[in-house]
Amino acid sequence: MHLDEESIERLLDGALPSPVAARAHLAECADCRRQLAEASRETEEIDRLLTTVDHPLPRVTAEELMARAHRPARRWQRLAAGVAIALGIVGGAYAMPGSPLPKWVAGVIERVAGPSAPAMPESAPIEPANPSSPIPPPAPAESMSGIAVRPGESLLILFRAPAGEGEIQVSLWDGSEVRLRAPAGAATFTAGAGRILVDHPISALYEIQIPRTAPAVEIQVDGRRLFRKAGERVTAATPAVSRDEYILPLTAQTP
Amino acid sequence: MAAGARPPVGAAPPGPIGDLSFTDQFVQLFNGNFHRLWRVMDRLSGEPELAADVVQEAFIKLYQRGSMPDAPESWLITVAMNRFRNARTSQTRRLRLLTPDRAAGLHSDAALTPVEAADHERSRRRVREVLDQMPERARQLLLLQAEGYRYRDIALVLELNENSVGVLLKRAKQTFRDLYQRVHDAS
Repeated sequence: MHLDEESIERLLDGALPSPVAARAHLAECADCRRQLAEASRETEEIDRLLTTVDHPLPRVTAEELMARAHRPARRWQRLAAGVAIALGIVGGAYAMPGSPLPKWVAGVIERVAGPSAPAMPESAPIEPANPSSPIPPPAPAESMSGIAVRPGESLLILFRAPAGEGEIQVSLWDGSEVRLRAPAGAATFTAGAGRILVDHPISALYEIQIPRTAPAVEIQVDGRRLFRKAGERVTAATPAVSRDEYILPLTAQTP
Repeated sequence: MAAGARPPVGAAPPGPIGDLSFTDQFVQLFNGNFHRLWRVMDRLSGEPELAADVVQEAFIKLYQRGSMPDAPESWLITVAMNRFRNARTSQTRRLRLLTPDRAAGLHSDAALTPVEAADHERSRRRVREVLDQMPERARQLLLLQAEGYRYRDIALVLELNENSVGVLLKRAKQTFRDLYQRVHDAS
């Protein structure tokens, strides 16, 4: 039997799991050798044509990007003069006998900023870092604040009136709580029955962990649904960036 | 790697990153992936500055994440493509990560004779037109494969059945060739 198109392409790209049999066939089959040669010529020609649209490579180093990665945290720390986490749970409802709220609200996580790095002007150009001075990885946990709740039957996480462009990193995990974290001072969180409000989020990275077992969790930005988990089914505005991980754009609604 | 040189096919550039610190893993991943991911985005968009922006942002995002995802290469591609899509659809001002010097460096062409330059420009326009006319998924598939991304990563990023990546690649190449012939004949 001749090699099919999939096998020929894979052979060409070194992606055939066990190429021995295919090569043995090629040694005896002139038709398949011809097809492989044609496919190889076609690939080389396309590669050559593609280079015509190439531009010179940008000069960027890993050290520059690592230095750049630290900047937002410093800005958030400056903004974090007043950590504002408000649990707007209606006291009466919370205290009412038989109320599900005490069970629903599992806790609040708040961590105050750790030692801050020297500030750098926002407009400063990227300076090449000294390779002999390794830059430590970011330490997000020390400068983050957040909230953790049990998802109940249904939970809506609503970002209201974003004040900049940020991102919401959503991941599924094996815990039992929905956890929402953000740089200290980046937003105000308010938890109520079946929903969490995130008011006036600034440009920042917001992290949300959702239990795999949560029956229904939805994330909206100004009423736009960006993510929904219903049972095991997940629909998101952007494709998963990794297994069980999504990065959603946090932007104000354009008029 | 020189511009235009094809990477080893089916290669897994970053290699095993088992016991390395996160920073070492990041540097290794950057060294193996920055330029090829930039080239994919540059060819995809035709805008080298935009390509540099979205790829840098993807790496910054990875560094801020503080840990490696299960499939770092496909994670980076997906984040870069998401950002590219957002940049194309959003009218808001984007963060520009390039300094003026660096942006100028992107446009410095190698010296060509006038005839060579004219031929090159004709080819460039045709290829650009072909890429712009190709269906999005076929274009992404072709460009990712041209940079040596593994079939598994391509399948993850484009949400394809890994076992059909080869056939879809074959179709994408055929589409490219047919469109190129059409554009060539029309010019």
